[in-house]
Amino acid sequence: MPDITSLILDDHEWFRRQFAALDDLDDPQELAAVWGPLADLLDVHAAAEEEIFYPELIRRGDDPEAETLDAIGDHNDIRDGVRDAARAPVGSAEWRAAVRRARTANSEHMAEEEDDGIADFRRNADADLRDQLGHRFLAFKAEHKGTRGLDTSDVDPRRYVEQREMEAGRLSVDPSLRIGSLKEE
Amino acid sequence: MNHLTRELAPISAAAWKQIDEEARERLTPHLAARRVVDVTGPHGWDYSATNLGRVRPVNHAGAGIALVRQRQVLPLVEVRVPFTVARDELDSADRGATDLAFDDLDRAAHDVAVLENKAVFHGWDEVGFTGLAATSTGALGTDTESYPHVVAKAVDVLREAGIKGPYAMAIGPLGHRRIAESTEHGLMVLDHLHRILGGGTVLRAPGVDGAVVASLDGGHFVLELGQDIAVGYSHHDADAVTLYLEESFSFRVLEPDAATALTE
Repeated sequence: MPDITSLILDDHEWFRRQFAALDDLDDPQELAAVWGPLADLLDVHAAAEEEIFYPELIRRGDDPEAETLDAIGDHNDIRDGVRDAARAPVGSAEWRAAVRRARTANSEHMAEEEDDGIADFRRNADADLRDQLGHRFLAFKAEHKGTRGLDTSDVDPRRYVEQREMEAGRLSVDPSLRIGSLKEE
Repeated sequence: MNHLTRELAPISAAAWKQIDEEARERLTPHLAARRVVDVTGPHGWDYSATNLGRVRPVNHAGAGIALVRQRQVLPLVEVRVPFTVARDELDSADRGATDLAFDDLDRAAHDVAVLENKAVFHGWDEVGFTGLAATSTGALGTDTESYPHVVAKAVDVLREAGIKGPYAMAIGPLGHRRIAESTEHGLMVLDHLHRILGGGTVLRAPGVDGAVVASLDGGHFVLELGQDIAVGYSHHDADAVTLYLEESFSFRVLEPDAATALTE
């Protein structure tokens, strides 16, 4: 049965191995052969979590707001690294620096997610739900394989959390544009 | 569905997203008052009045030895500015267009910001709001070379009153452009003013007559939001959808010495 938390951990393990594989390579073609699928899955995995995992964590978690804000911010850092790498020749110093940024952000993200968000979700979601979400997670990844039809632009963490909290009924709906104060601190 | 009735509009989620983004983008540069005063809330559309913490005595013949007093509040004002969007443009949003023409929304955003800025900087007698520009310390004129001297005097007045900086200078668009384009002994007037203001800022403030110099230190002025600015739906026909920008707010000056006006 595809427990979503196990599927996420499987992806994390694959990320670690692919980043490690890059360490052994110098040839741009070989680097591209590893980096291409890795970059795609970093984007797809982040989007799948934002679509399927984090909305449910917000519904059920013990401390979902802080965990989700952290995660979406990390996803943006990872996306930025992937995007920067795509603009540089594979194997160049610029490309290596961008990949390094994506790797560092991803390593931090995986550690925090495994210790906090996923652990929180395991405590609060039953096996049936985790399997249902696992099916959706796999379907999302299949539908958007190679980032097909996927918006990979950054997501505002605060807005994301507010929107999901509203959907979960954890926040009263504020229909305004939320401009608020513009005073610099 | 809430009072904005957005669900009744013939507008897709994609088009609503663009309308909201355009409104936010157009409003933000104009809302100068929110860069100077403290903003509290939003407390929601059903929030009607600001608690002033004061009472007024009530003379009631039948009260005997009872002491009767009435709580004092400052009612919020509701502001609604309509605008229209062509349905052809909204249809284009659904086809993926991201460069929709929102000319009337841009006009409405400007109108709302001018109204809010005027209420904060100049007050609004009809609804009981006192503005920052209640007292004046001098005339600004049109000679930008004299601005540093005039503004320095205004800042001195605030300092003499024990009001801490940094300070902001809010000035209408024409005056702001004049400052931005001016030099004084080879130095940008804008940079000189920035230093005089203690690291504060010169703000382009549509709706401000003359200029207002005010402390940016908190606790002196409060703009209290019921509902922050939102986009609502009014009605539509075959060609256009009529929407509106709406907010509710009150404004109070807690420390009148913390701001001074410079007349034109």
